[in-house]
Amino acid sequence: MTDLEEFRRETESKYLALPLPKWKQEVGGKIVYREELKYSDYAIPLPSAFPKPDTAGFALVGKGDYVARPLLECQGDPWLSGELFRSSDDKLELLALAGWKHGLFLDIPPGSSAFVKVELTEAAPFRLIIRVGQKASPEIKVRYFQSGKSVGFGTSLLQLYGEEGSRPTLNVLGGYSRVEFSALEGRLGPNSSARITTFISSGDYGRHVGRLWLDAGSEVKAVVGEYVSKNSFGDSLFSVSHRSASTSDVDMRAAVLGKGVLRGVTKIERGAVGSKANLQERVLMVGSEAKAVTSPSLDIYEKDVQAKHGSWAGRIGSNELFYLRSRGLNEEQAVALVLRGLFEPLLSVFPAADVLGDTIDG
Amino acid sequence: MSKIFQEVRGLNEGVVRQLSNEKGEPEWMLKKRLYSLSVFESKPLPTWGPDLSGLDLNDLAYYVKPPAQTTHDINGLPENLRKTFDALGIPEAERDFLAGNGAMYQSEVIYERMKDQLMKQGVLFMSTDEAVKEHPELLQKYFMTRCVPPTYHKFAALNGAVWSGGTFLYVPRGVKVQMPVQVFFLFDHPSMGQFEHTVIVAEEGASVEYIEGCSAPEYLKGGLHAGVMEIFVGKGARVRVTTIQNWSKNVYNLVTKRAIVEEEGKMEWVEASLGSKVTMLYPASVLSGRGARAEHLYVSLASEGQVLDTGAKITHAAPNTSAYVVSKSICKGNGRATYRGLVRVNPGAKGSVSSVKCDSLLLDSASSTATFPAEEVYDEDSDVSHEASAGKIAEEQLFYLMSRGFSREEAAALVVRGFMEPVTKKIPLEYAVEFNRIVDLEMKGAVG
Amino acid sequence: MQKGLSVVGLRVSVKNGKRILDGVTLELPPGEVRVVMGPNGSGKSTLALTLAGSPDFVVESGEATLDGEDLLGLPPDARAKKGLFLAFQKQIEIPGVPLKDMLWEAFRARWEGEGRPSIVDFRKNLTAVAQSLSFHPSFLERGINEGFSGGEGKKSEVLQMLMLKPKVAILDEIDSGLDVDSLRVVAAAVNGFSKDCRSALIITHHYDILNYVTPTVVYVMKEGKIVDKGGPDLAKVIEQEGYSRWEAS
Repeated sequence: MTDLEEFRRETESKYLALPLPKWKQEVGGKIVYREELKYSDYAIPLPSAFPKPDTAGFALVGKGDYVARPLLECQGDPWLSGELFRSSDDKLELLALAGWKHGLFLDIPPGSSAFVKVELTEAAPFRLIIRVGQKASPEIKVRYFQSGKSVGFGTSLLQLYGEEGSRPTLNVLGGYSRVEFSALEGRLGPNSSARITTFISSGDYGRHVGRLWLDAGSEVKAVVGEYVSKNSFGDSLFSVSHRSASTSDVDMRAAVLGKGVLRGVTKIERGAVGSKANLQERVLMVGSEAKAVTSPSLDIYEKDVQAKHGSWAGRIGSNELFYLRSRGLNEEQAVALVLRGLFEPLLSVFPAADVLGDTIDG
Repeated sequence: MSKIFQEVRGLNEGVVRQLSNEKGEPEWMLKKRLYSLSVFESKPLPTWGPDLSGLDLNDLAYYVKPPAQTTHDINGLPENLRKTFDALGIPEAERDFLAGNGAMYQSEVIYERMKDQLMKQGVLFMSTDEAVKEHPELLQKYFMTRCVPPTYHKFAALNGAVWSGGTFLYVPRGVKVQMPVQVFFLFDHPSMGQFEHTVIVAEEGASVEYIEGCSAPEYLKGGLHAGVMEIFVGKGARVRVTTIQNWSKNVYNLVTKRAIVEEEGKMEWVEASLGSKVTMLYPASVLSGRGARAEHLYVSLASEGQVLDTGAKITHAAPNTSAYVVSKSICKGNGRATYRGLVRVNPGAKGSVSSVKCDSLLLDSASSTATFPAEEVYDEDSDVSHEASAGKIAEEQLFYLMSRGFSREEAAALVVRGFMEPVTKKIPLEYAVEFNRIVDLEMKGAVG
Repeated sequence: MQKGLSVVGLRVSVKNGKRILDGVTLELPPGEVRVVMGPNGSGKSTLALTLAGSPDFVVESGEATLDGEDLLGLPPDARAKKGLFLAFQKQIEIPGVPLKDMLWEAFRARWEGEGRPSIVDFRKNLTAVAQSLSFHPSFLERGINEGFSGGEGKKSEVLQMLMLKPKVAILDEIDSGLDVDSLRVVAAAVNGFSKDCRSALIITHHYDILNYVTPTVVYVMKEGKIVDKGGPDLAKVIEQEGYSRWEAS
């Protein structure tokens, strides 16, 4: 059992003791600093103390069987210390773990097929824990997206725990502050199956981390979308760990006008016999200032598996552009169309205006 | 036979000076060695790759003079060497197939023969030591200047300090060398370090193929091979380097290979890695001129106790450059093969195209593999892709071949051969035959 | 001793899964061509794969013998050496292993001692057979089934059958994807078998190939069992009426 206040205090002192992060990238399993993408001229306005937590900050709409409680009322809940970031020495990660202002615990009871929409009403660091009971198959939509980013700095931590046989569908539309760190952690219990779709359009500087742990017989299908606007920097890491026989299919897509980093990590542990993993990264670079780094990695300790990954980075083909323009579209319209095609799997889940809004105007 | 200079263990300025003095080198080379030594001492061991803790750099002999003098005739070779050549299946000296043949035994080239044709064409083929004396102005232009400077990394610096032997191959403008040039390296002395330094220059429009075979047939106590290869591919020139590495399984094989490719030039690396305890091999191609191309083909077999860490480092530094990488690795026992690559497209390198494909086949439950590629694309006018896969031999492929009468073992060996084929088809026939034979041997009993 | 292929009461299930064959019994005497027809999902391919020794299935009970010798206890290569051949329905690719090389190795393994054709004769024969199938010679150099279309994949199987000359050939959906000319060549080969005292078991759910090959017996398979056995006219019935006659009552 975790005492929330104590946990926050401990984490806060750890947070305060750490130096400010410089931009870093993992290459070949080791952290290196990259001159070209170092965001040294951007002073990340990190808070000097954790904000005081409250019970507000979310608007909930839903039907079916579910319970929503403010995180503050969940003192002593075992989920609170979380798996992710516990042993982290990254300032932003610790902030997301314990330095939130708004906290919510969404509990989906076993067998429930509830439909819940959670929206962040105040742009401030938040944490959302979702527990999906056995054999429940809820659809959960989380929105913390704001197209005009008024707030300077924000973090978000979303945790999904799917118990045995659960089948959650989770859609996350995010990006609310100019400098943002967002994390998604998922633990999928035996024979569970999750559909996760995320789209983050961050402001000037965004770091996004997704980590999934798969137990025996579980499977996940994830589409992770990102939009990095001109003069912005976005770094997305998505990692899947197969602990025993499980299946993952991760599709990362990004439209990059500024500087984007996409890192997909697949790890298959010894004994995860029969696991299947497929991870694809696709970065469409738009405009002369676009820069991209892709780094899909595989770390395999079990022979009886099928693991593959692929990545592609490039611009819109001149043939495609030419074809569209020969149908009367100007360059901006043509680019918008192609982007629509890139984000097509997201458009069936999120409002087009949110996904493409920036792109059509920007 | 005189032995002037016995082995000396450990490395310090004194050893380097003695080495240079023994070789009768000019001042500029000694200076370079000493500078390299200081760089070596200032850099830490890399920790981002395989475990190098078993490597004791102080317990190595950095120079051993062999008992025989350099000869130009195979009959002048010492008996045990000739036996080794036979065991390696090295072709008869009179084979027309080969244009030239040099061999390194320990730290000096002792067997060389240049065909008249090469000499007439103006091609220079000699040991690097000889080149220092006979073509200093040429060597000074290329040796550890812009291709592999001592600062490149710790083991390049080490090589710069204690290098000995290696090939200097210079192909003048427009000369196309028809027959491949071959060299063999043998490791035969316990606790020895092998630090050959090869420089290959192909001037504008030239073309040459260079084949290197490495072997250490006897038991060694943790030897280190830290060779360096610097390649300059001129405008419209073509160079292919094929290396068949079969060091004994307690050698640390930490090599540096880099090529600078100019406008419309083409560099081809073909690497077959079978031996060594730990290999760190990342051939690099710098595509510095418009239209330059690079092709990297790797095949490795990591058996019990081996860690083979390989990758391609490609820099697109000019427009319309292209790179193609295929890496096939097989792991058995608790062997581990890792692909660690970097493709970088610099701003302004418009129209760059790069594709990397790495596949791993795991044969045993203790086998493991990883790929850590990175693509850094700093110009949007490019097309950079990467694909990788890992897994075991598909049961259905085994079943299919068994239903044609092959035993399970034979079927597995066939599938493995097919798996490596995109790379092995580029290896010259006799080496490919030998390579396949070694793989088949390793494969026996490999598939349960 | 019972000559030819004999299957009695074969019960087969998928590994860790459900039962597919529920007591199949059939015979294939030497020199005969027999046909197994049935709707999709009846278990025809499972029968073929099980007889060849596929690792995906588990034999629960029953027997299968070739010339009186048990097959089920043998690994696939031993069954192949005894003279069994399966033309696969699902194309399996083995990249990088040239078809001609595999064939030569497989061929050579069957011939012990004298009388074995030289590699030169083998190659000549191979080219001739490929030509008769309109199988492009370049495909012989390619990896097995690598990038082959459906029709080319089938031809590759038939080519192998003609080169390896098995005692019993099981042809699983060999007719799908073949043009009329190739179908004729395949049929001619199958017909030629009977003259050699070899036999063929054609598994199909189309009628087309039966225009060129006359089977002695037609088996009808449904839901993992042989539900009927008759002469060539039975195939005609199926062509006209489908499988309605055997609908569960």
